[in-house]
Amino acid sequence: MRTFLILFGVLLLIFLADISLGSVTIPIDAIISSLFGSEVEQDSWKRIILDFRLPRAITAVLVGSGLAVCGLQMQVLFRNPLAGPFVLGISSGASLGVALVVLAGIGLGWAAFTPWISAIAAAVGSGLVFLLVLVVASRVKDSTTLLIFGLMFGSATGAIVSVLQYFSEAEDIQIYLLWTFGSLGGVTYSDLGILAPLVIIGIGLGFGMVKSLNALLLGETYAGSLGINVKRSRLGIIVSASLLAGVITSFCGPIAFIGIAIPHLTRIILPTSDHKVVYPVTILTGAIALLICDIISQLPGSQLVLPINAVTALVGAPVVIWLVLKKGNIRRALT
Amino acid sequence: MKNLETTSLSAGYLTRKGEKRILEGLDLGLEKGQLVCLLGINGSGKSTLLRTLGGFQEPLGGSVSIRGKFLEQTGTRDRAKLLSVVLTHNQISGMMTVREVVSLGRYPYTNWLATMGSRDHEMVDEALTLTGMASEADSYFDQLSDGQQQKVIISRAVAQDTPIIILDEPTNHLDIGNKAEILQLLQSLAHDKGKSILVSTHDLDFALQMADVLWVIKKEKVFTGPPEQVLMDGILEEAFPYSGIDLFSGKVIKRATGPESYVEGSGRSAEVTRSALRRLGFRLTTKRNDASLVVSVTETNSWHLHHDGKKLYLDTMEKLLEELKRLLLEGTITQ
Repeated sequence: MRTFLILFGVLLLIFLADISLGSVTIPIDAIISSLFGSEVEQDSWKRIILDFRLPRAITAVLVGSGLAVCGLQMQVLFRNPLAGPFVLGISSGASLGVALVVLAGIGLGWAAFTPWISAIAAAVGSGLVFLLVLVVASRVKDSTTLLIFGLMFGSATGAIVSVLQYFSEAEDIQIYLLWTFGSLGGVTYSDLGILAPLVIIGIGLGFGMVKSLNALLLGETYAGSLGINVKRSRLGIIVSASLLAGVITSFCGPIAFIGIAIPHLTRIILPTSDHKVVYPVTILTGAIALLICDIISQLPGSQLVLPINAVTALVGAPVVIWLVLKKGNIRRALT
Repeated sequence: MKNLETTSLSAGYLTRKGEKRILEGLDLGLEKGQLVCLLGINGSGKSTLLRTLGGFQEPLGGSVSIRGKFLEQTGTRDRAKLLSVVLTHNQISGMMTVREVVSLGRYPYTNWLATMGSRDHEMVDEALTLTGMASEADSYFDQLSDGQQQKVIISRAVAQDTPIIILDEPTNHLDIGNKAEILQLLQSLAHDKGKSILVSTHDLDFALQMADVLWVIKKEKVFTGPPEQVLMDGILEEAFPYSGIDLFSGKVIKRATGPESYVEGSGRSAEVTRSALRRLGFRLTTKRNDASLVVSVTETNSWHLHHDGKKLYLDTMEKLLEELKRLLLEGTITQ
């Protein structure tokens, strides 16, 4: 409980820091008055805070916690420390959708929706894979088959995208690549109106599965013998994880690393595998991690912005390696 | 009423080509307070039978009923209150303390958040005490030895508070001391707590000494009876067509072709000396006059070797063994 409160405090601080820091330097009192709706010295500051930085920070919180929780569920379901939000092939579906639209020009008749087009393509792609995964999941008896299905699907999509790239114009390839870099900045308040409730539903549904997640640590046979309906739990976990991965990828692109690393990080910090504790703490650590990455990607004080996807891995990997080595329980934390 | 009963049960599995029946026409019963050992060679269907009785696998024919209720009509959760299981391998992922693992046994009785009441805590404490694991309650499960881990898993089954416990080769890969302790534990659970315990094992000698009833799988059938009855009927010899082992003692039969020898003396040293002779290939005779080699053990743990009219004094086991090997190699002893 203490850890939880401390982390919650950290989350609030980092959230404020994320709003305070950026290419334009804004005094802290102006930031606070903007947030509380009072008058600010320069109107542009208020606009930057409320219209750009605030939705962006909220998105970072939702996406960070959503992806972290999603990765946690996949790692437990597949009993595999390398599993992450994208093992089911959901994001591959999204990439394929975007690639088909951007690179192959399918459905470009809707070009009027330009800012929305990749989001819609990603949503359709991940949605279709989601349905496919559900069909497969309700038929197969063990989770490993599902994991292999996801991996194979991912490889196949990768190949199709490569072929498409080979035959595409440099300009289109660049648009596609930009999407794969991921972005938290493109989400507006009206987008948040869709993103926020869906992410909250996904996280909530996953929290309803904590008992199953704990039982699954013993393996599926033991879980069944403890009165857990393994098939139903597996479906619940898959629905929650796919919803999160699909929605987040549609709005922000495939953001890597957070989903795989944060659950491990959380278990090392705690250290326990009891999901009644791990799950809520993962929500916090995921949000904190992505907020920090977002701050770094802004390179405060400069006009440059790094792609979020590069930052998550560049900053995250050394941190995780350091933590794992320092704590010395690599095997225990990762299995 | 029996705790568990089968009526003309057929067990096996479904393949692409159809049903593969391994066991057929079984009418078995588990009484209250009985320790039953299930014996059979590798591939005879021990695990298939246990999986079918536990409801993890559909019967191919006939039925299983627990306390008068058909197994297929009980829900997962109700079944978990009647029957708990222990498997050979316990690959628990993550970091859980012994107490956390044992608490999983209370899952059939707790709500969706697995909130434990005072009764649940009592049951967990009781189970830990019963298996002698109370002192390790706060240790991490993965840091225990194999034998201790198996005891924790059994504690979990005890905490599950079911009238039936089914164990699939729980003593495999444990050392002999742990094997004995676990079987003693199971026996006391049956006799003192009135549980029905069904355990499959490869340890014939332990099974013969500890079980109230043996179930022996032989050619698609299961023969049942008290250990002595099974021995008298010669069922073990038919079920285990091995020439290398003495089924009654569990000792490896050494094909002795060497010279006849006789050991003079009593006590542990004499026993060890006999075992040394047997291992090297000497035959042991009970009549001094038949022997071409006589080893007499002195009270100070040294040996006198008589053969061919000569007498040799040896003061260490090492020297004795060397001398015996030399005699065998030279073939100087006439038979």
